[in-house]
Amino acid sequence: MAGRDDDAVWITGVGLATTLGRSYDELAANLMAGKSGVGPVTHFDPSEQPCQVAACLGPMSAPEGWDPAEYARLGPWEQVLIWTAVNALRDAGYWERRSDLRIGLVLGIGGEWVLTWEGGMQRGDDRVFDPERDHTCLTTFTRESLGLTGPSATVAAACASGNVALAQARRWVQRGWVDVCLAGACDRSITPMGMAGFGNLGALTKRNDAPEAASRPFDRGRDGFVMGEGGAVFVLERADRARRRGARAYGEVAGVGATSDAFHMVIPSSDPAPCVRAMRSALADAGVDPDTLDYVNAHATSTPVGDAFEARALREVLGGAARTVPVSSTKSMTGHLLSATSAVEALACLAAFDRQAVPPTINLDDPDPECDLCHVAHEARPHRVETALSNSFGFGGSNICVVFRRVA
Amino acid sequence: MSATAPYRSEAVPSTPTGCAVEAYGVVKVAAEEIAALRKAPGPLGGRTIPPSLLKHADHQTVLALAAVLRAVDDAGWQDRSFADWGLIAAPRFLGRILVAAAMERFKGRGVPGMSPLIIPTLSLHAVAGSLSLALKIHGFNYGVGGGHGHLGEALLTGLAARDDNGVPGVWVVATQFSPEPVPDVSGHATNASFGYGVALALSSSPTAAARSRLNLRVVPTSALEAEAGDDDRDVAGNDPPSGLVALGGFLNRSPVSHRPRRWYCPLPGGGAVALDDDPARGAAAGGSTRVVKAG
Repeated sequence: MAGRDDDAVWITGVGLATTLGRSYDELAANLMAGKSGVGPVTHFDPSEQPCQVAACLGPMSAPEGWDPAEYARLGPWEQVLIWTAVNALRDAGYWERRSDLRIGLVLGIGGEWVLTWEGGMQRGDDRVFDPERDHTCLTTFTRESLGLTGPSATVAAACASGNVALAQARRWVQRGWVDVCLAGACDRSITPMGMAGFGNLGALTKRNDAPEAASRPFDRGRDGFVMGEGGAVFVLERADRARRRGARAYGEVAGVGATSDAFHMVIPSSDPAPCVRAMRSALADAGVDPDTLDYVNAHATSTPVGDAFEARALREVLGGAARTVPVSSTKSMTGHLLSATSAVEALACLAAFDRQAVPPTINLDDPDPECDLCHVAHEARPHRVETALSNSFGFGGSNICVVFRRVA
Repeated sequence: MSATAPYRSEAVPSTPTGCAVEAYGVVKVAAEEIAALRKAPGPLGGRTIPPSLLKHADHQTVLALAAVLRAVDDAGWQDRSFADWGLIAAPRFLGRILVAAAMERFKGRGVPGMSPLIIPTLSLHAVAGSLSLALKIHGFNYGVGGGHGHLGEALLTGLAARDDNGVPGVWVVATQFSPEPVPDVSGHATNASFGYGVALALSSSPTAAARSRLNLRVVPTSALEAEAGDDDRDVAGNDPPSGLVALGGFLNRSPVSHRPRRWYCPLPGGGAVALDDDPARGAAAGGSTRVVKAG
């Protein structure tokens, strides 16, 4: 079905908050420049943590038109969601007339309540023991704060949550349940318990003395991922609608493939078949032949097992084209934003369309032979990019891949 | 980004979008009985579930699996493979009891006291991921909801994804405690609370929708304003007609006549998901309630 113009769903607005930028142009420029957003953790004492580096967002400022004092009172998740959603609507030209439309909202958020309760503990109020304080979830908060009148949902597939949100929003638009849909994801898990949880899993890097070199997907010296935080929200609408109003189209959400390993809650399956099937389904849904694919934004988090596993699956999907289709992992620059990571990586795909270049994998000094692919190391590569595959794989065995297409 | 002159919203389609509910299972369990259910979640048929899967899982994962197993058993699907199905699981306030205990350990022992299992087993994806392992599902598995409104979000998400990537069906499972448990620091509830789980097997086959007695669909605002309830918040123990407890009751209440019945779950922003039970349209879906009485 996808690929047919009457069903096409376009991205016509973006809002983002990352360590590499809080506007699309700033992020795109920094990704193409190969900048790292990783540094030491400073907003709490990480000295007991196995990993002490991350891509931390820092203080946020209120979006245009929002009362700064009111914004400052919001929690860290709420601040990111308001910033990204407001700016996405403004970017699309819908902010002033959002109440005229039935605008839906789908957000990928995986650890909302655990982190809400931890936040209470850090403030000394232990709200986990008082259920009556848990009223409004983040998605409802965002919908109500923005005065949206369409349905909303929180979705999660761990580190693939952002792609789930895009997949759902695309369906809501295609099924006509909404006129326009906001979709995206947010994560602010760089907390004492969050870092301890991933650190005790052995999933995080221990390169504490070299933060900018710590995230090194596909490199032989990789030793775990670097946590990141932030988020991105997109405005999705039907192509005919966007075309009619002369909207800027960043790209089409052209195809989605989603499968489960059914193998282990944390460890990727030794069988690449489900992962391969997710990529192939996304490509088929988009009507894109692997040979003609222009760019792969890999999930590659910089873990020894995961990167090699993904490279193996990619070689199977791409076949002979594995030697020519450029692949990069922008987590080398942004860190791994967990629930929000695929939303930010969607931005990297849109930037590749916009700049006609592939953002690099930085720190790829010594490519692991087990990760043999057509890597774009260190520097962006000028390249014709009409289609891009964004991979995301999450705990719980979720493989969710999205194909984006450039809109001419 | 510039835009042209504003125009009014295009109408939400009046054509119902729905699919058949081919099986269902409902579970109600006193909080103190979860431990027993964890050891024996239900009739497994020929399936094997890794012993470690439920050992560290949250209580709501146990409830969700029990609801699905009940549905499978009642539908006579013991030998059916769900390998190609999709799965959506919607807990409400997942992990409150276990997180309370984990936070206490973290306070006392610091970083070494943080279990590496908290994130994989208590994040929103955890119930769906665990069930995909238990049922050997290789279609999608998504966590949905997490707070109030989880049931409506799950049903809407399930309907949206009902034929994604050609899945023949989607399990939609919603769970909650009611009233919400008030935990102590040792990982136990200090109040009387029941765990609820409802599993629905949605079919993506159009022919199934045409012959099924139970059908789930999205209804636009204009069609239901006079009928739908308010919201489904029930932390205080009051379950409104649109909530999960009421859905379980609807599924298991035998109709007093052959007249069609309808249950609504309002959606935020207007509209609803409706479950229609029309005895004249076909055989009842397989399903029943499992109640484990406290004490």
